[in-house]
Amino acid sequence: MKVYLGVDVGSVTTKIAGLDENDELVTHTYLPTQGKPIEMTQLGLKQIKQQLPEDVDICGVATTGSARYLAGVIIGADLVKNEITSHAVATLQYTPQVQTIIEIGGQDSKIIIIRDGIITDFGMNTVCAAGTGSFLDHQAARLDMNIEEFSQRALDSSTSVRIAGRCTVFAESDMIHKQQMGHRIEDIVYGLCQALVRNYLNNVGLGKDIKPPIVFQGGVAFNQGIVKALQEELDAEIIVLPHHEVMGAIGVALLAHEEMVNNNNGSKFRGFGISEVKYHTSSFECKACPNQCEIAQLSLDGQVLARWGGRCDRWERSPSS
Amino acid sequence: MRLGLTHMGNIDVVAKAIANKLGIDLVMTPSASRRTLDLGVKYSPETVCFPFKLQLGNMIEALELGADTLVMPGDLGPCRMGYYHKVLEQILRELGYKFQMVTQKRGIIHMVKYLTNGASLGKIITAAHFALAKLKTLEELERVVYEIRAIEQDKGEATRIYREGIKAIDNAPDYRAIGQAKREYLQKLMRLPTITSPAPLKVGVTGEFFVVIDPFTNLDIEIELGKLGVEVRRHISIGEWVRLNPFVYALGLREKDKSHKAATPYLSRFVGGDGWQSVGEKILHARDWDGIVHLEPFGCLPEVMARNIMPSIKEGPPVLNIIYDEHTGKAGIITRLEAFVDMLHRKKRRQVALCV
Repeated sequence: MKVYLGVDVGSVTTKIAGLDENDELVTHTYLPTQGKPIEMTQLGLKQIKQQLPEDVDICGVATTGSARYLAGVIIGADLVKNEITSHAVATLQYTPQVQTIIEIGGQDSKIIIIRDGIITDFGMNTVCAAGTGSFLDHQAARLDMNIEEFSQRALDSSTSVRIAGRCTVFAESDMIHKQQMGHRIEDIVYGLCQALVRNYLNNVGLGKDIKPPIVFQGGVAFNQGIVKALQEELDAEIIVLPHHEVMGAIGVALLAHEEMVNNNNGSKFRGFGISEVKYHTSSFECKACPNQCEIAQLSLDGQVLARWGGRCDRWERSPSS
Repeated sequence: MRLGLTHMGNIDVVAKAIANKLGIDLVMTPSASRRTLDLGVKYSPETVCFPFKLQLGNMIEALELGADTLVMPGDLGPCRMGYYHKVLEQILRELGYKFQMVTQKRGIIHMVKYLTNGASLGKIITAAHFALAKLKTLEELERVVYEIRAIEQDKGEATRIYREGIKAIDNAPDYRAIGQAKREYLQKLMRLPTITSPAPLKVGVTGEFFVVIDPFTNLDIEIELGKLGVEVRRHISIGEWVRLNPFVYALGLREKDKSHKAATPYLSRFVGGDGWQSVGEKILHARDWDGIVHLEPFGCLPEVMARNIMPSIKEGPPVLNIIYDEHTGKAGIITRLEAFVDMLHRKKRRQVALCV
């Protein structure tokens, strides 16, 4: 069995997807990153291996997400791609007529505008993280409910309460204020969903030509309250695809397939064995100039595999020295 | 008088050339670094724009090295920059430094007279001519670097040669040496092994003057674009700023004048900084640029205006807006650049396919 793997190591979650030769999803996994991108990539690969038959042949691997370069070195990626392209490629595979992709993840949110199957515009949150998954998680925890319950309660709202959503700090104090005034918790939760949607559309979506079909993905698409609020605000149907949470990984697996078909030199995949070895990370301050860059390095058995973080390419160019 | 120079792109080469010819005592600060930025951030009002913070850090470093005169170049408004010389002066005085702040407030002639210490007009013109020759050579080299960076096989070589070239031009004592350096480094660049496909994209870099021309501030955006196989086009430059050719001026041939004219249906007046030009360049280069990267310092009023006008202009290439401040991380910028370049490539491939 031939399989192409896509690995998406994000700030909050790590996703791996495996596609067969016909680009059908055969296996996937979804793990919290917990600030340990290397360990979680290893654990994810272990789980994927267990789900696949013994005779599996990994024909191509690609990585995406904020830790794409790190994951790429660990796994031996044939291709490293940014999240925007990966998400668009995957969504187009399942919904070829899509014109707008809304993606809200753990710490970033994006909007991708597509016309005739081509990305024509995109936006990412810049200076503000209000309205991303981490904030929802935090508020759910504060209200002493898990995120699934949070999503369910939002749907039970009868009259929404207006929450200030411009900044997460103010949103939180506004929520507390509304609680103290005696509003129903369901209404407050839904009010928060609406605030986040407003904030998203006013920041990331500002000036973007949002046209249906609209596909919503990323971890936050699990949240029915946000889906409903988006639907109301945009007055259009919001499509949430199955496996929306691993779309980035699926997209980059599709790109790996394409890459291997175009220039087939055999995959650089280092094998499932890498989930057993111990990688070592460390960092040091470069003293060569007053910039004092913090250089991070990844090594295996005392041999440096890669270095990052310099303003110049002094360290990146020759990792082995 | 010991004149403290603040950094901005290659302006130090120009300043040094003039100072040497006129015998001005120039205090060279080390190029901007993390320390410069930290100093600037520490003593600046928090919401002031990013170039102000770097400028302040730079000035502190110059004063530490014994400068007693500082220059705040640039025009006086109508954006917040109009007050910067006063605010900078006051902050530095409160820190206990003693110095003279020279501005364009009383006209550029007065400023030049003061700085040149009563040198004759002939001498000043000779010195300026020599400095401009260096600047012109630097910019010619730069244009070639933009081309080579996009197609070089071994990424980083062109930048390395370019940096050596800057040093050689900086050290050139006369016109002959400038010409020699130019020939030598152009040849070195041309000899670099290159790849032939895919054809490089042409992306314009525009936005606020300081972030656009200063690589430390914009986190080497031009080098990063080059790594992604993009040929950079940039009209905002020191050369454009100080171009003194009266014909070019009179006929409105500067990029500035052309872009202002083009922008008029959307923005009909000067709004400070380079906001007007940013809007105009989108229309002006609808055909010859594949994309635009628009750079804006956080809190820059003219560019905030330009950024919000640009989406309403239907003609012209796609725009990627990047906002800089002291917290800007390079990883986020690289992700956006990669996605942007990917998008432009796919778009171009589609256009080519449709034409065939």
